[in-house]
Parts: sequence; C-alpha cells; structure tokens
Amino acid sequence: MTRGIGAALLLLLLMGQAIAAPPKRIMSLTVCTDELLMDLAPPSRIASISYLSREKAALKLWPEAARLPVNHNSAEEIVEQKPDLVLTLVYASTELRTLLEKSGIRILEVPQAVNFAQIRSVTRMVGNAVGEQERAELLIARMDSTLRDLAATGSKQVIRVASWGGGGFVPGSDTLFDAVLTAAGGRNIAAHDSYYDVESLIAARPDILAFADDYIDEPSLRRDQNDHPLLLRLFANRRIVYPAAYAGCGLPQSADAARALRSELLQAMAKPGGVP
Amino acid sequence: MRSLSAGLGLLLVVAFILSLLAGRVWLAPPDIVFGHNVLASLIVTDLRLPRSILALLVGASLGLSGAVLQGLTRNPLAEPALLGVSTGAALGAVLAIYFGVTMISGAAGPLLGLVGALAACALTFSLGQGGGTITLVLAGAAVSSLTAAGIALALNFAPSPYAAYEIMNWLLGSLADKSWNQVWLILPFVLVGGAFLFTTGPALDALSLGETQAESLGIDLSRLRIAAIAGTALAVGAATSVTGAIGFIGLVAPHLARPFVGHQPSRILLPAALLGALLLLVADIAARLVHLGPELKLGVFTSLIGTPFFFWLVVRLKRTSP
Repeated sequence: MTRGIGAALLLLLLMGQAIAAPPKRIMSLTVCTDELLMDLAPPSRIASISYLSREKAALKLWPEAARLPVNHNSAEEIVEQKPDLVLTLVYASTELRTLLEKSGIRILEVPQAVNFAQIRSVTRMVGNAVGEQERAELLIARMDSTLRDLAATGSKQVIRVASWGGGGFVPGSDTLFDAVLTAAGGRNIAAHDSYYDVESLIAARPDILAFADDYIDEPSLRRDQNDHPLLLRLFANRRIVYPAAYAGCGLPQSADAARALRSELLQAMAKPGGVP
Repeated sequence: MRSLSAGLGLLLVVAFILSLLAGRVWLAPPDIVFGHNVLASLIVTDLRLPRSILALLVGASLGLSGAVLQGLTRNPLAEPALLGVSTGAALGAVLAIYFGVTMISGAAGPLLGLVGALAACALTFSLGQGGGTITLVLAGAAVSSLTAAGIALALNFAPSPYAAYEIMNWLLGSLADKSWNQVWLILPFVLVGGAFLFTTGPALDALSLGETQAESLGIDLSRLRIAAIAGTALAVGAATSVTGAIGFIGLVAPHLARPFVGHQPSRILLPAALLGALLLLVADIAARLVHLGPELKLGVFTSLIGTPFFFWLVVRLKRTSP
C-alpha cells in the first residue's frame, strides 16, 4: 500500500517535471531581479546575480549575495554561464534580448514595481517563471498581512516627510518610496518627482528628512548639500535612514520596510525639530 | 577711475540687496527686513547671504586675476580658465573631495585646489614662456585639456557612484546651497591672493612698455610673475575649489572696464574686480530665478554671457591687427 502511494507520488513528480521543468541555472542581470530571485529560489539554482548586489547596502539584507557568482550584465557572460533562464528588468537590455532569442535562452523581462499591487504581480511573475509559485504566494500573503496590520494601527498625526539626499531630487507620488511611506503612515512633501534646493526644501516644511542608506557615507558633492549646516541644525533629531535596498526595488519585503519606517517616523516625531 | 569704482560699488550694493530677494521661494521684502518670519530669516541668513557673499568673493577673484593675467601676458585673451588655473583648481578639489581628504580636514579642499591651480599655472607658464603670447595661450589650452581629462579620470574612479553625474558641477560651476562654512573657508585665501594681485599694478604698468623697458625701469619680472601666479592660484584656486570652474568672468570683466579707465593695467585692477563680482552676482541671481526643473548651473550663464563676447573679441582683433 505505502509502496503504491510512493510510486504514484514519484509518477506525479516526474509528470510535473515533464510539464514544466523548473529552470536550474537562473541568471539575473539587475539588482531588483536579483533580490526577487534570492527571495524565491534556492541558491543552488542561481547561476549568477548582478555584481551590483554585492554593494554594502544590499548585502545587509541578502548576505547570500556575497557567495553567489556575479555577472556584469554582458552578453559574453551569458554565453559563458549557459543559463536556462535570464531575468532582467524591462528596458534594461534591448540588445541582449535579440541575442538571447537567437540562442534560444528564455528571458523574462520584469517590470519595475513602484506600488504594492505591482509588487504582487512581479512576485507572482518571477515565482511562476522559476517554478516557486507556492513560495511566491507565501511571501505575498506575509506582505499583505503586514500591510493590513499597518493600516489598522495608523495614527491620525500628519507626518510630512521628504526623501532627501539625492542631490536635490525628491521622489514624488509615483515612486516606491511614496508607496512605502504612505503605508508607513507618512505624507510625502512632493506631489510629483521634483528638484528642491535647500531653501525650497525648508519652505515646504517637512517634519522629517529621510535618507536612503546607500552611499550616504561616501564622499561626494551631494554630501555637502545633504549636510548643509542649516539642515543639520533644524533636523538634528529629525533625520532618519531607511534601507535603500527596500525602497529601490519593489519586493515583498517593502512592507517590512514600511513597518520599520513607521517606527522610525514615530521615534523621530517624539523629538523636537523641524522648521519653526 | 574713482567715479567708475564708486558707481560699480553702488551697483554692487543694489545687486546684493536684490540677490537676497532672489530664490526659488518668494519672500516678501518686509519679512526679510523685519525678521518676524522665522522661515524667511533662516532662508536669508543661512542660505542667500552666504551664497551672495561667495558670488562676490569668487567674481572679484576672477575679475581681478583676469586683469592681472591680461596685463602680465599682454594678451587680451588671458584669464584664469584659459590658462588652465580654474580646471587645475577643480582637479585638486575633486581629488580632495572624492578621495576622502576633506573628511580629514575641511581646509583640504581649498588647499588641494590651490595646489592644483599653482601646478597648472606653473605648467602653463613654463611651457609657454619665451614663445610669445600665442604659445602661452596654446600652453594654457593644453593644460586645460589635461586637467579636464584629469577631473574626468578622477571622477571615473571615484568611490561614489554620483561622481560621474557631478562632473557637471565641476566643469560648469555652481553656487547652489552653499553655506557660511564655505565662505570662511575661502575668505583668507581670497584676501591674501587678492592682496598679491593688487601689488602687481605698478609693475604691470611698466611691463606694458615691453619686457626690456620694464627691466630697465628696475622691475623684477620674475617677482612680478610669482606674485601674479601665486595671487591667482590663491584667490582663484580657493574660489574654484568651492564653486567649480566658472569661465569667462575673468575674461570679460577687464575688457568691460577698459573703455572707462583707459589701457593702463594698474587702473583696471579695482574696476575689474568690482565688475567681476557684479557680473557673477547678477548671473547667479538669474540662475536662481530660472526654474527649469533642476537648477540651471551658474557656469552656463556666464558662458552664455561670455561666448558672444569672445566672438566680438576675435572680430575686433582681426580688425585692429595689421
């Protein structure tokens, strides 16, 4: 009897493989697809990820990236690594697409997700492609429960936030930062993507300045602007740092980013500061 | 000359007051004067005031050193940018900022800017010496290209991914979002450099008669060169290390002053400094008022003023030269 069930299971398994064998050598060319891939597929099935995923900020959240082989988004590496599936972002590589179509390698072009609905759809899309549908649904369910939790516990206090630190560029409503901030209970000062100088920034009276954690320690000109003495003085207690890796790519973890952001916002608001 | 300088001084005061009104945010004049509005006084005292003062310092440095270099080389095209000084200073500052030297000490930027300016200036003069003015201008062009390539190379290998994008700032120049820190940082260098440049007046007058005549009048030419180069490197080097390379002010200011005060080099120095300050301040006011998404770089404005002037200069030279 048990032997019979075992045989039936084995048969089913073989049939399943014959119907859609999950790819075993998956190559991802961009950071956002790297992160989705590492979330969904085991390292043993990942041929390589983008070298950019070895940046300090990304490694904090995906330490396995340090052990995986890397590529530099080049055609030659694809030929060399012989993947059975290539993940990339839409628009990221038009030349590569023709090459891959010629060589018969499957390519999946994933759109950039800038809100939670799109995160659900790209997570399912990559989950289907790599044969990890269940894991994808699990991650989405976890994300949705975090989002429900955040919505249920939100406060009425209006917290005006500017994402600062991009050389004057402040992301507006159609960005992932905005989606994460809104879920966290903050309000973006910028209605659409715009440039602010220090004076227009303080005139917009944000309560909090949010910095992405990538490259904030690297010396550059924008560091001078970010650390303008006036901003250091007004926002001494009101500067928060959020993980750029979450806010750069729409992922199931973006909901965790929103939860972390909420607690940072509330902590910062408890302290004095802002534009008088 | 005195009435011209007084007139320019008056214009400068007017432009300076206007510059406190100019910015992306409109502030009502009563708010600025009476200081009841906290936001308005913050914007004026911490953002617009240092920016306008920097415009004065940088513009005056450029105008003055342009006048001195034109007198020294007896060449109407000479100016700090043409001789490679500006890009040399920008290279030094880029190296200081992107490779973390400014993290050790804030003065590293101006200091390395100064070293870059001195090196570029010395290279230009040693290459171009003795071959007449055309050789000097060619040497300056060569040094400028070399230092511009050096900036691009440094930014190419800079640890910050924003570096490539910020090439623009260094090659175009900008005064946006500067603070008092930068004013205090460059002020001593600009003052000492300016003093050096002002002392060259009498020697430049003698030099306008020709090198041998000047030497027979007891002018020490090598000392004059050192004062001009050191003064330019100090003032323009420090200024550029904060703003990036700003072209044409040094070229245009002395030429605009000349019709009013005649061709005696020493009489051009003060008006050229004042005009340089005025031009840069007005260009910066314009840059602040034009809103086209990202900030319009100040250097673009000065180039827009300067390039037609360059054309005019070439046409006039063609007409006047035999």
